[in-house]
Amino acid sequence: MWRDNLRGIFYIALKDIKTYYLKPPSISWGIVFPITWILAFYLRNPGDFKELVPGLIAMTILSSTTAAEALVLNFELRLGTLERLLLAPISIDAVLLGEGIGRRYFWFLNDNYNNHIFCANTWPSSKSILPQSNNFSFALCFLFPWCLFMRYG
Amino acid sequence: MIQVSGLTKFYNEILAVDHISFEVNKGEVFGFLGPNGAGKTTTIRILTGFSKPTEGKIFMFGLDVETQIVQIKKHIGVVPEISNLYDELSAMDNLIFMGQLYGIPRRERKKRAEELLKTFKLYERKNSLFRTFSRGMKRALTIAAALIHNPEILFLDEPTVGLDVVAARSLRNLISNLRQQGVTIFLTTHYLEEADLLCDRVAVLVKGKILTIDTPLNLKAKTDKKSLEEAFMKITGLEPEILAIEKGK
Repeated sequence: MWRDNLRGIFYIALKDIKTYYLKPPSISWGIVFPITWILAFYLRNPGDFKELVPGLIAMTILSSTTAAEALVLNFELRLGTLERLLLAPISIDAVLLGEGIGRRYFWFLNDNYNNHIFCANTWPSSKSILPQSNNFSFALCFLFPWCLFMRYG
Repeated sequence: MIQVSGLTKFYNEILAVDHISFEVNKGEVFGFLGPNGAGKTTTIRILTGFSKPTEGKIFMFGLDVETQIVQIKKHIGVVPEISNLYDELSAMDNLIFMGQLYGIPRRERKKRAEELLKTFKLYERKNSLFRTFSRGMKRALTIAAALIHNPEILFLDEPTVGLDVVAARSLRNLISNLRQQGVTIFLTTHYLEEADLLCDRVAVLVKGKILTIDTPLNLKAKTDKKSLEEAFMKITGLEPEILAIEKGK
């Protein structure tokens, strides 16, 4: 049973990435949105880059939860494709987790990759900060919105 | 194959299905007939685990639908009223994705997807996106997706709605072929000629209640009518309304 669920989670996440997230608007939004927020935070308080990290975390959470996940699920519900997923021999939690993981993982990579390139070029001294913050931000980016989604989604 | 007893469903205070009981035998085509709002789709949704019954018990393959639905889903295929595959995926990718969800091994799922595309005469369009298909082709691919894991029971909810004559005819042939292969088919339809042609037995459902279950031949004999449509009108009590409309003309 757990193997079926794991398989379902993996393939649903893969399908979401292929169907929705690798589309040009999604990728360009993932580039523009973080850069805008970094600039906004920096212009407001042009201090040490460490001070930007909470903002980056918040931005990643915000963009991943609002810009895609909610939209994709509603979209699937409207088209009836969510019903198709629910017909598969996996639990409903696996379906939701698959949808959540695809979004979270892809957006996390997209945002943080962009942040890393942008920040490394803008603030050369900050190169060592981002990798350290990534573990923490990953945990937050992944778990917090997922818990919220599972509770209220 | 399917045993339903005392199935009842309320949506708030609206009674959608009213203490219905029936059995579907292995390898038969069982038709569920009724006017709009009779409870046909609600029954299918409960049988396939989308909706929970207010009362009653359902067993499929001897398993309880309420508690063992995940195991049951491995052996059933469902074709909903609306074709619901992924617009952004090609015909082949849609079938492969369904195969992945059902745990079909990699090589086998590709082979099976190709076989189904050939059966449904969609092989030439295997790389076309689902959204570029005509309604009939979408319907055919939705049925193919429901068959990817070789289900023992196939639920078809209004399969020929919106199809042109040729597509509907080809779909009916396909249903006949599936029956010959031993697939049990649970079919809901408005088209009584279709039910007459395809079904071994039919249940007539009105306002959530089953009025009768019998073979099309017996229903026609019992009501002394030539067609299943006329028999249906008599059984459901709609005959006087139709006569009044005809007199008004």
